[in-house]
Amino acid sequence: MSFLNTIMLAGLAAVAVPIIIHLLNRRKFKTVTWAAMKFVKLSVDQNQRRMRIEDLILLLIRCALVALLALALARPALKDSSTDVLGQAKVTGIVILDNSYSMDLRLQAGESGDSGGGATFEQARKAAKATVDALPSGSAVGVLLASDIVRGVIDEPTYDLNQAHAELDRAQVSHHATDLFPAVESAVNILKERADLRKEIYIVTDGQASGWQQNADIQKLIEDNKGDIDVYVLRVGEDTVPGNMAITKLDVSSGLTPVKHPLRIEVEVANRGKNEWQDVTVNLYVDERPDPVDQVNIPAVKAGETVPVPLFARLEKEGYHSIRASFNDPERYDSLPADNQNRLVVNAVSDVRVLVVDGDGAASDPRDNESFFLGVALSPVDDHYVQVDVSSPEVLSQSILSKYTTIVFANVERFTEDNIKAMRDYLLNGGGLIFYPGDQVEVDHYNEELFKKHGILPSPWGLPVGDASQDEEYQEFQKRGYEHPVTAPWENPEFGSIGSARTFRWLPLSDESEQPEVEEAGLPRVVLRYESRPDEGEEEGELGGPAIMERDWGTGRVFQFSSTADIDWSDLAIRGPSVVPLLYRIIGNIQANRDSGLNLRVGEPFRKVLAANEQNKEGLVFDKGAVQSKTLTPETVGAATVLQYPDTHRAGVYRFSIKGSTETNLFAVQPDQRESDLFKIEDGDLPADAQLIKWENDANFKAKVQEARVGAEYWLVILLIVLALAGLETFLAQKFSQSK
Amino acid sequence: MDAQQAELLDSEAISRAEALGLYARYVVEGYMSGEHKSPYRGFAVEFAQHREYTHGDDTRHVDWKVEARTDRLFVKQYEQETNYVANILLDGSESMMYASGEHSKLQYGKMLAAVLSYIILHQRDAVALGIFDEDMKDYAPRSDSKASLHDIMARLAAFDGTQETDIAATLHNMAVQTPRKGIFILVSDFFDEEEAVLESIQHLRFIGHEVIVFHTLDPYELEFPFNGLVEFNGLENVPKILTRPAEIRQTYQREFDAFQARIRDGCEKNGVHYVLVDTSKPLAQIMSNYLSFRMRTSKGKQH
Repeated sequence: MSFLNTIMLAGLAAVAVPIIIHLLNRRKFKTVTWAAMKFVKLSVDQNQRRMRIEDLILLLIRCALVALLALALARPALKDSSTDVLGQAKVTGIVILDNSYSMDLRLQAGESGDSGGGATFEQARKAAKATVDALPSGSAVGVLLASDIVRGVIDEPTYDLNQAHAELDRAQVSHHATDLFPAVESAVNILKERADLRKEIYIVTDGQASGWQQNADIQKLIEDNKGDIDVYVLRVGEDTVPGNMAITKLDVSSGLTPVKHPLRIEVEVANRGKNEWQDVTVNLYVDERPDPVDQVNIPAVKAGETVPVPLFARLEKEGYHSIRASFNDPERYDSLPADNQNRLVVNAVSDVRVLVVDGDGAASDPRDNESFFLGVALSPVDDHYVQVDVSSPEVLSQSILSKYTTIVFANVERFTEDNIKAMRDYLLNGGGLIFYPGDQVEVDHYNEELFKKHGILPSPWGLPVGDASQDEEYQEFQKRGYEHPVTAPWENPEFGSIGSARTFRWLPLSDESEQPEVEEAGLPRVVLRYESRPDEGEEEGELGGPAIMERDWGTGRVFQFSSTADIDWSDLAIRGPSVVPLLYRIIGNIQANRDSGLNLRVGEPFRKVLAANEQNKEGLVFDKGAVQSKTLTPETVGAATVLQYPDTHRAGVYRFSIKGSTETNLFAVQPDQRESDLFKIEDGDLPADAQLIKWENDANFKAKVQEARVGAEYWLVILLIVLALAGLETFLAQKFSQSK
Repeated sequence: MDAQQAELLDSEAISRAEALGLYARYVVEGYMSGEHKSPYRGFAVEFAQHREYTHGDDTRHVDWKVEARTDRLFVKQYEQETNYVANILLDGSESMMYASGEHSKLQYGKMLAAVLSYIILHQRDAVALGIFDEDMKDYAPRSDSKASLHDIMARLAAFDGTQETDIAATLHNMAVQTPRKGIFILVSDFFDEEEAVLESIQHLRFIGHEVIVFHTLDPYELEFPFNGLVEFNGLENVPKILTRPAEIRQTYQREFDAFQARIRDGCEKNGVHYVLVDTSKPLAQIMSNYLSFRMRTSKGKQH
């Protein structure tokens, strides 16, 4: 027995009221001076016992009336099917409809009456609607769309079941992955707020294993609320796992996207099925033109295998381009169309401009300048798309910095406050900074101003270690375990080696420094580490401290080296096969970071930082396939004014423009690749406390759900007893007051 | 006769009683002596017969006209009205003070006593009035003078009951103190020891007295019409009782009826006239009913 309105139990105290009234009434009487006392006494003596018993009976009935009324108002309820005497109790239910894109899977067998090939999501929609229909009258229902995010289309349960139907009809599959835990948690939280007897959660899902990745937490949540909330898993779709090929990665290899240069596009093809897939053709399209610009054929992809394939494109014009990698006929290539193609947006530039601020640029021999080797490495020929300018620290200003993709500070002694302000503004607008040490730098100034105060440097520099005047003692770079995207290609030996460069002197970096509290500063990451020379007989040395670190700052990014840009302390600068790709990848990484807002994962909001002259401008977003644009209004986020578009739940290319501007930008939303894995959770692995109901071409689904639901409230029964007692009380009071 | 006294003489009752006049008188007399002439002969206004003079007769009564014709001495004998003594005994105990309406039982009893006295004295019979509670509180000795009516009224008006009652003791005393046969008219509610009361009535009857009982009760005592919660505050020092009278009305009425029946039966068994007096009824009606009843009974006896 439980009470849905426990506060009304306090009304039980009102049982005292009839007793008090009884006692008070005994003090309220007429006084009559009387002669024939003998006969009154005789009569009273004969009736006293009876009258007392009658009084007691009436008093007990009245007390019971009050107590039962309080009990009825407290809404007592039992959850035992055998006591379900008044039919089904009304329910407050939350329907969690899985709308991750695995729900878009086409079924092999059609629904009865269908020609076949319907999507799992349609089956789920029917199941959800049948569940709503199965609710007893007077029930309320909420609807949550669940993927790895939760969208409460009806997050306050409504008694209007037609509204629930309408919302379920409107529901669409997203391109999100699944994680059902947040949805179950939301549903539990919604229901906890409700004072109803029957609280139920219906999870309508295809049972994809990745949706239950937090199964233990879901089970705990269900267990913690057992007895209060009943959970049903309504499993739709087919038990068999169909073959599924997916394009799981689409990326510009270097991050740099110059026009009129071949761009290497990294594509990954994954076989997420149980069987080998043969003769897989991947096409690359630019700007949605019908003919592919490149094509590759993979003879066979084994079950579970992921194959990286490079494809090449050439962009002729500056500006935004969409790039699409796709299997042949992606809508029908396999049962799950959503992962058969993937899109990318790049901002092609005619050149990449790099400014090297040389702190030691006054040497008579240019080769002694700190910037010499950088210039050679980045821009080997005059008309190369990377243009390197060299400057001295004195002329730094925001207006100059903003012309460059990347600014390199090489052995610069110190900075003025204006310099630092210019750097901050530059970083806030997505710029990239690279800091090299050298014998000119004032370490304390860097540590105090750029690390502690402004949080621009990823790490403080330590005291110099090593001796650059000899060549016996040195450190090399790590030769394995590259984790940062910049160095990740060296994990593949075919890409060459970076580890053999020697560093004789360095200012140690640390990835364990106490971080300054600067709002704009992101967490520091290690790009590359030193490795000690292996001992005799050993093949590998031990990993040492960081050689290069980076951090995001504002929307920009900062790289920090621990040794020099020239060959004073290290020979990296003259190791062409190492230093050239390293620098390109760093600059590409900065560029990609700047363009990262162009390629979003589903659900990640599109964000455009407005320039100073655009502060009050509104933006327009055209969704793929949408007839009307959506208007974005400026919002203030931190120090910046931005336009944001959060509804990126469908993969594809979106167009964006600032109102009043003729320029149209593009951005791409990519599906969550985790969802391509269609393997399902076994029934037995579902949360033990959840009740499983399976959809089996179900005309009887409504009855199945009803069968699973039992229990009733008892306030009506008690109220009837109260009425009966009230009648009895009236009858007895009249009967007892009759003369005897 | 002051106002208080005048109040006791219900003019309507008196006029009714006078209307019944002679018949009532006859009835009373007839009842007193049965079918015989009154055994008490006195000097009355109406001639009855002559008898021969014997020594010792009062010479004033010698009929000289007869002596002149017959030469013998005859004395005149007169037919005297019944010269009985009516002892009116009024219960003046505190219980008689109860009144649900205009008059308390005592007040009603006083009026009854006054009317009876008036009628009786007008019939030239003698009246003695006693007002008692635990014992005799006031007593007007027998008198056949109409002038004594004033004294009777004054005594009635002056009395106020405060004590408990002891009817039996009073009647026994009266029986002892009144050897000469007469009528005892007892006006009381009889809220006393019933058996003792009936015994004392029997005592009076044993001596030869006629007894008439006017059982004087308030209508509320008969009907017990109270509702709600009532605290009964007893007269004559009885403890209070708190109860809901509506719920015990039937029991009360049953008990009260039984009490009445016991008194009535006890009276009838001893040849006592029992008259129930409901103080809500007009006194004239009570009197008229009773005197009619007496007339009927007397006629029955005469035939």
